[in-house]
Amino acid sequence: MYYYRRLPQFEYVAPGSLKEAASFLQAHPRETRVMAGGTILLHRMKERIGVKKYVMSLKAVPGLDAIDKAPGQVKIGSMVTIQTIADAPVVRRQCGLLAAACQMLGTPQIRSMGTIGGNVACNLATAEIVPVLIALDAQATLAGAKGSRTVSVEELYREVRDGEFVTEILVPVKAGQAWGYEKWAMRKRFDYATVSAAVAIAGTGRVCKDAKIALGGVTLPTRRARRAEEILKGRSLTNRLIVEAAEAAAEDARTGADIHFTAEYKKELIKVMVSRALKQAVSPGKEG
Amino acid sequence: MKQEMEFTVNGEHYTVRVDTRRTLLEVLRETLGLTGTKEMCNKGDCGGCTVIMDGKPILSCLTLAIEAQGKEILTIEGLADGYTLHPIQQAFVESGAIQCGYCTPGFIMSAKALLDRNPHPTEDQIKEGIANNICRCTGYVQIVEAIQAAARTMKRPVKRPMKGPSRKPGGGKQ
Amino acid sequence: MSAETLIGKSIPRIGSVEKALGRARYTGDIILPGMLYGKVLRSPHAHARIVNIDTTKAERIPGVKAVVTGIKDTPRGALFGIIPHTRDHLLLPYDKVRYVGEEVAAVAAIDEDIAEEAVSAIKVEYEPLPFVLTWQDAMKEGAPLVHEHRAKNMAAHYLVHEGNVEEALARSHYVWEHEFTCEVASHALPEPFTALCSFEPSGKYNFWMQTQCPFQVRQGLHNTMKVPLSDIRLHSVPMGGAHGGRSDTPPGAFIAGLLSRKAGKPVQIKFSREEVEDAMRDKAAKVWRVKIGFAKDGAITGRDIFMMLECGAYASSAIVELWVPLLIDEVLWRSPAYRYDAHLVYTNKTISSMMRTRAHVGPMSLDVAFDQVSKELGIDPIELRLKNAVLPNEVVPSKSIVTSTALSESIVMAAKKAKYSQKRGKLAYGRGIGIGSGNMQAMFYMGFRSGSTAFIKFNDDGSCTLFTGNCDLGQGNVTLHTQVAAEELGIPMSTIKVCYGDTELCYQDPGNYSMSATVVSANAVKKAAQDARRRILETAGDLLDVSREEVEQKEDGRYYVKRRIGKGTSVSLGDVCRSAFKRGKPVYGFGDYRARIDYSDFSVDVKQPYNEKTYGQKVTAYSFGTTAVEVKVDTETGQVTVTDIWAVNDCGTVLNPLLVRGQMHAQLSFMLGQGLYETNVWDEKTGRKLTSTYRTYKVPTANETPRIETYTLGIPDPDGPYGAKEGSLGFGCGLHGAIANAIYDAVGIRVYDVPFKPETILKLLKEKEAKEKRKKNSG
Repeated sequence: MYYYRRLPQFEYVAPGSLKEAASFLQAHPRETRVMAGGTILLHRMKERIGVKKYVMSLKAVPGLDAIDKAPGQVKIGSMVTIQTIADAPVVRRQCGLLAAACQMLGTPQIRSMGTIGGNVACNLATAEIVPVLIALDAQATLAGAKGSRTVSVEELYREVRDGEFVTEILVPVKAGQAWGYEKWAMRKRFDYATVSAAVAIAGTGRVCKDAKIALGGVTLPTRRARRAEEILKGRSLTNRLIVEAAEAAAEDARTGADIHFTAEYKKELIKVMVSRALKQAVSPGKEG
Repeated sequence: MKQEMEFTVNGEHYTVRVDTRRTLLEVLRETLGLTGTKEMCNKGDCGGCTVIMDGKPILSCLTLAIEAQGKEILTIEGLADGYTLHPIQQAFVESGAIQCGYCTPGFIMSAKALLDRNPHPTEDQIKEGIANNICRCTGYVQIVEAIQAAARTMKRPVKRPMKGPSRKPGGGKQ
Repeated sequence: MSAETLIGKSIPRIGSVEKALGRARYTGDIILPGMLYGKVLRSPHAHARIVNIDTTKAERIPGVKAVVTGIKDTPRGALFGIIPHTRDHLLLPYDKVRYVGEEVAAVAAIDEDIAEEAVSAIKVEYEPLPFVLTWQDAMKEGAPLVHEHRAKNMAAHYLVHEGNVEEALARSHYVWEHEFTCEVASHALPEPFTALCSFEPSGKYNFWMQTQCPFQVRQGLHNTMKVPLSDIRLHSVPMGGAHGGRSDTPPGAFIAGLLSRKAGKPVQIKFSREEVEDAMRDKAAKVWRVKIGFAKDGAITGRDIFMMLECGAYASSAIVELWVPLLIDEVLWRSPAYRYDAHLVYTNKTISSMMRTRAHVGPMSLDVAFDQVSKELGIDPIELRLKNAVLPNEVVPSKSIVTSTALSESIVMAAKKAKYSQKRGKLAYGRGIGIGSGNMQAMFYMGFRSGSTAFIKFNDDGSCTLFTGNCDLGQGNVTLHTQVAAEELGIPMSTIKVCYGDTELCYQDPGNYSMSATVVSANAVKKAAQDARRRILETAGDLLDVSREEVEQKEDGRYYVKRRIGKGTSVSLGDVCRSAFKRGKPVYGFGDYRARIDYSDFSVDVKQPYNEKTYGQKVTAYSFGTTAVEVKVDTETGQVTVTDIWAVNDCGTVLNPLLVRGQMHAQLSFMLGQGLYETNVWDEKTGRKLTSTYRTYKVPTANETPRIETYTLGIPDPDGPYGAKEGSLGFGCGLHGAIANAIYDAVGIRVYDVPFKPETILKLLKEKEAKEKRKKNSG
């Protein structure tokens, strides 16, 4: 049994351009870990999980750390830190759901170091921002040797190929969107979400035109609570309907037990989080 | 693999050759002898190794030293003016916020980052500001009181205070 | 004597400035010339026979200076255990490994990377054996034996029976019974275990390491290394937390010693966080079954307690867990008939040992009982408590006298401050209030732990150095001892420097163990200061040409002849010290304090189911206190939040309110964590602990901390210095009972298993709802 304090051996590369990064990754797709903020990667490497020959840092690649307002969307570079997003006036104004979720992620240190790209790419329980981006219909730009392409965040893990990495997140700005975000964690400001629910509702008054509900703490195929969304569409968001949708979301969600919580309890939590997030969307500012 | 790097720590300029797999924590403690920054968990869970890099609180155990190239670092050793304690340090001493003292440098650096960002934090904002820091001896009440006391005595920057994190993400219409 | 007393003054902790500056030098900050870095290879098996250890490859790695294994490098049969009965622990085993993370071999190398590489190059051949992780499994017929010489994995048994419990219960008006459990808890100490050893060619081992009991650790090293006590020196260093977790002789120090001797260089071993949590100490999981008889008027008639404790892999010091719950439980509430039947059972887990909160299941069981029985008997729960609360000078079942207690006062005050009676049963659904009491023994009856000796020597200018074997864990013992010495000597605290916890320079002290620092160590310091004062007055008398009795110290700190009119001649302390030295009668002070403890009747014998020699004065002083809490229960998720705590501390005279308050917050934070958040989990397949990080072992953060109001009663204890007794543990041990009662008040469900997990609470809430629905439908 080995207990390490030091990082393992690896070679550190820090390409100075997107092109250089893409070609390095193309050349060593299976031997390279791409590092953004490093909070997740270095933590895992100290536990000797997922150690590869190279660590390719994106810190020296220019242009990945900007937030830009474009027509109909906000573009967020993959190296923008979670805290920068939470603080950015344009995000707070145009994508309140994302700003709120970023502010609720981790701690001041983690938010100052961790990046949106890293959070999206890690595909772990710590990726609290992913359900939020799915609910917002966000897209991710992937860079590769053959140039870049854009995929929806929802499809990201299915889509991403060896040699590609995330360079940008595109969040559409939708007028009249109501939203809610709830996460449950034992220590609410320290722990990553055991489960979470992000909802985005389009509509006027209480009638829901369209709804997106995305979940954290569930298996990939059940990230979207599609049946719950259908229940809401075209109907008035009464408490009874919200409970019905939340129950459907929990029923469909596939959760797994972890060392502290059973799969059944997580399902129960999903129901509560979805219902509270929906109530939040209906009555902004009120306790769920 | 070793590389040469330059950075500024507590106002001193350093040029060092570091193994690229060294963390900033290791280089601060072992290469520069700045042992005030503590290792508790070595994996970012405890906040004991918090330092301020370019104005932001970071976990030096999860930062590769090489990535501090060109950065400005502030550690616990850089806060006081000789033997005159920084108001946060002074408040920690007077409020009984220090017992074993091992987590103290991390708490003080988190508090510094918080007060730089938000000179007038509420109690909840203080608690959120030290959410990454674990203490086992003092509890947290006297630490929060120390940060409140420090906020009162510190010279306030003229900058308008930033809106801190809200307790509840009030949903909203856009 | 200076007019103003230091007793009761809020004096900031000595040493805080260094800590605030980042200049306090902890063990891991020390680098000695030529120092090597040690690394321990640990067992991946929960239980296995060590067949062979091949270190040849590791030895050949450039930079490796020493490799040690149990079979090659340790004295045969040198077992660690704090009493003969529990000498079961080879600090570097060569026969078997008994838990995941146990030490198997170690290396020392010129840097840590090489050391890490080298341990990976050691090949160990194991013969894996079946293992047991719970006491229930460990006691099953045919269960694998952790130690072959202990049948049924029974490590030790302890029984006290006073009066006839069966009869008392049979005659009772009402008998309440229930089973309570608590899980294994961890100290989660901030500073990872670090040991630095420098072996000198003369044969002496110099250690720098965290310990709260340097003399006890020296004894353990002496027993296992087989060298004279004078060849082991523990230097004093500040340490990052202790809380009971640094009471033992750690294998890591033993191994650092072996490596340093072999390599001929100083060796530092620094554990990783996971190593600390897997291979240091935990608090035992407990099952506590209690039957309590009540008379019609609410008086307890008898209590029958059966306790099972999970010892972990070695009973070496876990034996303490068998005794301490008794020392607490038998005291709080009067019980004419009493039986305490406790069993310590081996398991293949991390070793259990001391922890500041270890005794909480006992107090909780009574508080939960009072809450329920008050309804049955129609007696107000506060009245019920007051009826049974122990009073000063009462004798507990095992025959200790409780010399001071303000338990009743603490109950009344906590209830009043929290507005308990006004709120109970009247808060909105989901909100509730509860109350619980606790206590702690100060100093108990084990061998050399009973007394402390202090010494003060003076310099020519009147400044002095105080020597005490009692070390400072951060709780403020140096401040305490300085304050006491300054008070007695009438000199400024700044002129007293304390040399503490160094086994070569100081006299023996029990260590920070069983809350003995205030009652025992500070009393020794007080006596040393009084002794010095006598000598000072004597020399001053000589100088002033009067007898000692005619000398007095005035507010300016100088010594005068008593009752002399006008200013008169005077001498300073410096004059006294210089002149005393010249006269060959240097000023010093020697003080020894022995606790009021009866040793004659103590023994533990596993062969005897009942040992009649368990009676007598076991404890010098008892502290008490009561906490009231308000909780909020999220009825949809089952999560409980404590929103408010009112804590009342019966810690005798308050010597330093600032420090006492800090200790109270510390204890409440520890108790809160164990009550609501912290839980340890083992992998049933591998026997590995899965909760070895702050992420997985969920200690509370600032955001889990409720509003807390702390109060002290200030009723003096006859033995404590100036009437003080321990102030950091006892008062808070009732917090879990208070939370359990508050949960009932909030949502009408009863919880008996600590921690109170959201999932369990949600399940109980659903059961209750279903039951209510059924009732409604049928009704």
